Amino acid sequence: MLERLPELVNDDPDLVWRGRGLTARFLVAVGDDEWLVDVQAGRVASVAKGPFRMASWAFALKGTRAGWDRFWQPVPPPYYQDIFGLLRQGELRLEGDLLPLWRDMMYIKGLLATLRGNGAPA
Amino acid sequence: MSVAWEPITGRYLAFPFAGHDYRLFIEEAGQGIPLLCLHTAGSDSRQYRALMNDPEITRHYRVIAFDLPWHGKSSPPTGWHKERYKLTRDFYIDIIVAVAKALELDKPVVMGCSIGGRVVLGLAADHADKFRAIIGLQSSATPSAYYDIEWLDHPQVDHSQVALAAVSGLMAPQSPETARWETLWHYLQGGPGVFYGDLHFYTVDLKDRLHRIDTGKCPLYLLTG
Repeated sequence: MLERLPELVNDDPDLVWRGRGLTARFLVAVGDDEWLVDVQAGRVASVAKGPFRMASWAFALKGTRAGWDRFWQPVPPPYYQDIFGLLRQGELRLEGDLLPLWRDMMYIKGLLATLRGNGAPA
Repeated sequence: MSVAWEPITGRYLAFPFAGHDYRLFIEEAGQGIPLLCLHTAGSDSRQYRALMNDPEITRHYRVIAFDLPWHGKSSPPTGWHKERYKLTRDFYIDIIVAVAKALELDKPVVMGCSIGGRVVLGLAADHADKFRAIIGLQSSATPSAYYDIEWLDHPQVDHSQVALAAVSGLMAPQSPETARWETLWHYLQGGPGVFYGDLHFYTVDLKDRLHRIDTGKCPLYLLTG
């Protein structure tokens, strides 16, 4: 589950360093389930699970459950190995202010990939 | 003392073309059938390092790769700082033909990947007589964009990081990690606006000439995965 992000990310010094320029709250949607992830200088400060009535976030990654399920397999199938593949397959939408996301796309990709084989939401 | 030289040699070529005096970097290895290799968007000839270091290939082929202007060790044209780079269809097709001619390659095999895989379709359509075989890697005559490429040349975003993010998404998780990251480094070294300008080539039409492809004149091999 995404609740494991603080431990998975904050214990990875290379990933924290990569995201050192990012301080933002973003939303991850897995089908109808939503999580808010608070990042402060590359460390995941908190993760909250929805549903939310008044969520405030900078950007959102809203994916289908089927898409994320494949993305989070230990060895994902072709086109599901990366969020660009999810975009290509129409399994993911990006919303909000995408500037901070694009600035730190590699960090966000790395953050989401820590859930691979680590009890990602099924 | 013995040192582990690779069999690859690189040279610079003064190359007048399309009204500019270009300085092109060209590298090669091997002997035999000339195999002219075209790099992808946003990178350079180092992408062919494994082929040029493979004795099974260099025993039969003279593997040659050149960096397009703006890429790798090739210079952009004089006045580059006053223009916004865009790779056009005719420039791309013509410079490949011109390089093959300048190097006096005897009907080379031409092989390209990504934008290089696309441009060889143009070569197959109109320059089949100049090549003995044409190989397209990930060729696509009519690709559709799945992300907004303007982010590749956004003034508030590090272009190299966007290139890294986009290209790493194209790599299979089974690919060797060291090869993946070495290849990604080359994209990180691309100049600002160059990857973006290369992708302009995907927006220009090739369909107008595909009907002229005659594989009886020159075989065309497409490797797509």
